[in-house]
Amino acid sequence: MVSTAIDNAALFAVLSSLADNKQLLGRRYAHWSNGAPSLEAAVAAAAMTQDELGHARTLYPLLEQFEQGQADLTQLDPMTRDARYALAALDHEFLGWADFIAANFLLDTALTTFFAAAQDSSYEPLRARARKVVQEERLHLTHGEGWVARLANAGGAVRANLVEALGRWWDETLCWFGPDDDPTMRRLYDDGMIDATPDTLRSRYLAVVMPVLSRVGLDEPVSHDEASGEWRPTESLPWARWDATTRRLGVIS
Amino acid sequence: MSADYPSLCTHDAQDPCCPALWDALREVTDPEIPISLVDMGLIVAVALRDGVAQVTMTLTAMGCPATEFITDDIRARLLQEPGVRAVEIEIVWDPVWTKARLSEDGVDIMRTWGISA
Repeated sequence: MVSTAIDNAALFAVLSSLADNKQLLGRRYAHWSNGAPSLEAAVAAAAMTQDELGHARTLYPLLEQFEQGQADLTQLDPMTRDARYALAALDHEFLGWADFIAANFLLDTALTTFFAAAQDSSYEPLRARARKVVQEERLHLTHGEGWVARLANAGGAVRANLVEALGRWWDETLCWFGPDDDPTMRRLYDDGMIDATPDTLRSRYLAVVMPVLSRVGLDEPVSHDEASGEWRPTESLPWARWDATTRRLGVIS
Repeated sequence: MSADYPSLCTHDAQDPCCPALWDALREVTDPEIPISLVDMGLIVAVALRDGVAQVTMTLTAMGCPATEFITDDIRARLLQEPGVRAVEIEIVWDPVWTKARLSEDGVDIMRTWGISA
């Protein structure tokens, strides 16, 4: 019998990472559905939990269609999967509400940047999901933007907590797109599955988050080229600690 | 097919657009708001092939916690229709649901319940 499974390690790895990040983001958000600083924030946390888990739920079944997934069926179900393709920052519960906001504003926005680049994907299952994810994530971004401004403008320890939280998520989120020559993202770009290279994705992501941070005086090491419109990190990212397969940072050995 | 469905006034029961099945689905309501799945714009396509009702539908949210309630209700209702021995449901995310998919009746119903539409 001829196998109809898809043999594409790059796409499998990225879908796995998207699913794992969404799944864990949902679980971490869930914790705050009962502990957010206001009733409205708790309701928002619950709603975003539902969205993130929903996104993960529509992504995991795609893994079954790949040869790479069929090689180990236990890795296809989030309940039995022990491969960790989510950011290391998601390994533990958030340290506080500022961590929730940092993950919401940085990581969730980075993942949405990828989905936005996949809205005309040559891989139909990703294309169909991407448009819906982008629609749902608009409210998540609004939530993140609002709370970043609110915490930053509060000043004192509240602002300091936000700055620390953003720092915990900054590098690893920028790394998630991969170095510009990352073979995985490059393969997706070359195959028409996304419409941008890693550096362009990173620039698009920074174009969303930097104006918000700048408005509240939170400057990050990023440059903006007015002529080209491109945004670039001005400090080197910790690629030596970045695992290209799991798309996460490891510990310094 | 039953003969008392509104759509059968304008469509033959054997019409390939399955008017009776669409009408049957008008009796299946969203678990959260008393509005039919059809007026809510969740039903994308309906077909009947060899006794198998094939429903293509979307949801307002990917994480909809009521998904199984909805699909169970669709199955239960369509299996009451003459000629339907099985129901297949495919959930799709394209088209993306927006309030533009509400029917005219659906807009009125939503407003009745105080929901902007």
